Amino acid sequence: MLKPPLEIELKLGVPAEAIERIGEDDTLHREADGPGDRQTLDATYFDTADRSLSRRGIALRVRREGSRTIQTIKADARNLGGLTARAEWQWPIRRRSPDLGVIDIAEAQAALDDIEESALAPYYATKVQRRLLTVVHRSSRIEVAIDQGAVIAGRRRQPITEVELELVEGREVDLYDLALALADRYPLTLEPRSKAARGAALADGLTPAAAFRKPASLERGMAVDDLIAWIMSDCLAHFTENVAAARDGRDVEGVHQARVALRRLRSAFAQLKDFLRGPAVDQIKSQARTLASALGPARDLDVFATETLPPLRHFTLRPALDALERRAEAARGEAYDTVRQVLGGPEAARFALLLGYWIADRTWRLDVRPARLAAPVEETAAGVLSKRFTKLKRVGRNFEAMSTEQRHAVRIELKKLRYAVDFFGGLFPGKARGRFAKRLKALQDDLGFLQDAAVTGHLLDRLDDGGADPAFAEGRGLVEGWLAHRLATANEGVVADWRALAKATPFWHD
Amino acid sequence: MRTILVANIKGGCGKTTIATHLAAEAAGRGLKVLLADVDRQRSSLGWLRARPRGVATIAGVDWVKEIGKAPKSVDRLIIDAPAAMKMKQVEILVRAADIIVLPVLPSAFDEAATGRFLSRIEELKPIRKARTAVLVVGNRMRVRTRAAARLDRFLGGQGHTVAARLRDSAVYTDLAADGTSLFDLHTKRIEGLKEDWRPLLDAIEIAA
Repeated sequence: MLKPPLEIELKLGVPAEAIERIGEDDTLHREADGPGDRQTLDATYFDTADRSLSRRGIALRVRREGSRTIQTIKADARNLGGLTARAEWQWPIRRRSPDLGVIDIAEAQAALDDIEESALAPYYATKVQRRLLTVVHRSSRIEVAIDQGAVIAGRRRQPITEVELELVEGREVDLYDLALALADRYPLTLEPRSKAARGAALADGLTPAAAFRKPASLERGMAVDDLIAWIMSDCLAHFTENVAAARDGRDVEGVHQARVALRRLRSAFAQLKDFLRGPAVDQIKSQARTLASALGPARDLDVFATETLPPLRHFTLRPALDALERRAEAARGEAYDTVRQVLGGPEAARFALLLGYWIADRTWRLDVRPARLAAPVEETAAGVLSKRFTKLKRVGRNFEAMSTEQRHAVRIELKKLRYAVDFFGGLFPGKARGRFAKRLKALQDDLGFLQDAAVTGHLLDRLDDGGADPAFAEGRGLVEGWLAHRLATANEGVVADWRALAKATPFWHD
Repeated sequence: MRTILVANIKGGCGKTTIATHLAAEAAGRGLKVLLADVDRQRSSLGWLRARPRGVATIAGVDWVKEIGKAPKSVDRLIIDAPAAMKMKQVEILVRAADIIVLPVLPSAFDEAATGRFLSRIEELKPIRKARTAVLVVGNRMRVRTRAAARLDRFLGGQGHTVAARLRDSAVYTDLAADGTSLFDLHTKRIEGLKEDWRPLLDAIEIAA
């Protein structure tokens, strides 16, 4: 084994025109311990015909490094808040195709247990010109790899221009500091997908997958300090893991989940506001808000196309619906241009790096007494949940008689409670939590529909050109009538769901 | 009264560690010390709040919104300057200071930022006439001495020398959380770390 099994690295995209300049950066070279190496890295990734390795999150690579051939196995990345840490093992081998006989690590053997060497075939390849510098930055030693090349699958090629920072020794926070220093000078972008992930997607024509989050599994007795780091890292990872899918746009869940991640983040700041304040927090929050609103129009149009319109297809007024759909599609194209511009731009990268820095630095420790941060989370969690539930019931008093507009205020409180339950619920296991969460979700679905209906109204206003197209006007009437009908018939169920939640037993008192 | 300004343009370089240590050291010698926080993060004031009973007393004041005036009875005023200062602020604070302490981390990016900061403050009169001492402190010096040599070369080019080199140590993180400093403790374990500060403390006394 040639390398320690865990690598902590940050990867960022570099615009093609800046890749040469970053490799020659004066300041970066002053931190380097020499002129650096230039390497030609030609790697072929192998898998079985049914992609057994890929499906279990393993990459098997054979790479020429000068006169040597190195076989590498990478296990699935654990995402640590924008940083990736993954298990990686390497062995020198004497041929160009995988040699499973050399594997002498039990963990790696187990992972490849049922794989026949003869069943492995080339899957995709990467050809990279790497400029490698080892720099000393603040109190850390960091390897900076500036990569230019392509990922290749059959006749398909995709260019690679990116920079990878890997912590050799020292502190995670220095890794972020160096990345931010570089981002000050070059328009770096988020490129969280590994070359392997990009290769596999290219080879199999896969759509980048959206990433979902399970409710947090926190441990009782965990310190508030670690809770903050855990939740914020989770939100950051959730965001960055959806950037590729959101930019791609074929899976509508990409933009949706990226937005959810940003909303969860802002909600986490709100829930933990007793611990989190100061200029860095303000900046992160405001950047999150800006990013979320840039994704808003695309999400609204996705909902319109995938949820609002399909049930209306049961009617026969095809031309009217087609007119609506055409206009919505055009607007959606523009909205996704914005998404690509924003998520593929330097602002999103700076946001993620700043948040990563803040987490790694645990900057909040400057403002909060250590005893409060060392306290176990249960008390804080129960306090937040109680506060949210009480506030929800207060805002929702007299719910039965409320107008749709008034119920929006309830919906917002409900969402806050929902995120609090997602974040902290795991601390209070038991049936009561499941029951509570179920009632919560039922009401959230009801009120979410109110919101979708309101958003659809605004959306139609924007798409409308003032009645010049009679087919569009007809389609609009159809949608509005349908929504009005659903709102009217839904009311009884909404009220029942509200009553059920309002009298639910809090699960956090144990 | 002597006024010491602890400043740098780049965040995370240990401004607060230095400001709080200088405050605790002077207070430990019986001086009446006022620690003024101008940084929006207010971490010096946070440190003061965490400060336990039984250690040397230090008064604190919040100057984030407005830079105030220290009472006449104060022997030593230590100012924790904001990162990313506006030129107007720099001018006011630099003019008020007798000594400027500038922490720098061993990084070419930090050096570049410090270089910009040095040329900005040198345009201000009192320093040109050499009435105000500028003491550069290498902070978190850990990985090899090559970084230290680079810092020396860089500062030499700017007409400055390193007044002290502080080692990187996890002890500083614990102290920050406890509201204490090396100078509040009297254990053998930290003697070596305390020694790092001696040249800076001497330079301050000479300049003062």
